[in-house]
Amino acid sequence: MWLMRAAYVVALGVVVAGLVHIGSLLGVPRVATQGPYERLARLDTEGRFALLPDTGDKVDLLPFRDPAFVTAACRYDLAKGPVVLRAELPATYGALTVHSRLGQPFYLLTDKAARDGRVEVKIFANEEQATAEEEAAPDDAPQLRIVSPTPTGFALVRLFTPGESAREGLRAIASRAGCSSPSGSKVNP
Amino acid sequence: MRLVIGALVALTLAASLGLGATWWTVANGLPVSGLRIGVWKAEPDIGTLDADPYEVAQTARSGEAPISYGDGLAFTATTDDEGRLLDSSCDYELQGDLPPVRLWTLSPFSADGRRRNPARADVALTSASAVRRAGAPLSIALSPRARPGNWLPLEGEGRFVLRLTLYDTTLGTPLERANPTALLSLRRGACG
Repeated sequence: MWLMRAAYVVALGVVVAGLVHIGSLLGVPRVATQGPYERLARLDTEGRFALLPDTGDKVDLLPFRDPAFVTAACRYDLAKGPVVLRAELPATYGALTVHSRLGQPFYLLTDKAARDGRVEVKIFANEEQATAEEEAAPDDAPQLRIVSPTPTGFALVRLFTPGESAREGLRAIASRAGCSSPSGSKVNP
Repeated sequence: MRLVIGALVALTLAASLGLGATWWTVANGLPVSGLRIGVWKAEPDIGTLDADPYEVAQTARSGEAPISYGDGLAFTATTDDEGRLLDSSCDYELQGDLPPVRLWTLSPFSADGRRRNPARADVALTSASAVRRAGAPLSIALSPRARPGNWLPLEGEGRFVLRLTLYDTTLGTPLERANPTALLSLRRGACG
């Protein structure tokens, strides 16, 4: 009788533990304060690409970031309208990735997709906006239109440095990348 | 009274087991998931929108921006071939062949992803700087002291992890995942 009751209590505990586990796991991203999006807030990345430092205190802003790459980041908010990303990607290997609010990359352009060494892409908040743009697009609007799964997110420009002597030049190229709303101030060429 | 005690015990058990399981899996990942090749472990799905809740929570906790699946695959090694944790005071030798990739990079990090020496920028060995000998497998020496050939300096003290990132590889595709080619072996040499 006593053993039966103990077994019952343990069984109940294990079943509820499963529910607690699932609930808390799904809650982790919502309460996390050190996700990649939050970490990038420490740089001034609203509306422009900011270079991540390669030396010094802030070098670990994003953990496990590949030291052989020069990285620039931009956080976007589609509530203010669509955002245009423009980047130069040298043929030594460069990539432009667009990440959702929780950090999952959902779009990638490498230097293989670049035209004249450049890529540009416009991010929309929903399918309707993207379709409307398609019908009434000015000639110089970016040809690539993507829809972000989350209203906010971030983009990374990552350029491979084949040698230390190339680092400064690549940092200059990465810092020229543009990330802005077309209706706002002048977009970087 | 016994009912109350029973309920309390069950709830305490549930809370500690459930939260403990969350804490452990978020910190270490699911023990059975991912792609393991020798000592190297990668999570190919973490760089896609199909990431499962464990991988999403892992990203939120570590703060790492995962590289896209089409971009490459990041492998981490925490132990040598014999299962001993990697230690900065030891020499290590990596040997083997890499699958076809456009470029690869190898760099040591602390267990939580920090650089070993924040004062230096050139802390990675890459396919652009590594020397290959014709007809011989790739060989890399990891040591606190200078070595001939491909040498990746080990700085700092205590435990470290190795990150091998393969860019533009087919290794993460479902076909390759089922039958992965071998990666570098990781043999420990002298310590101290």
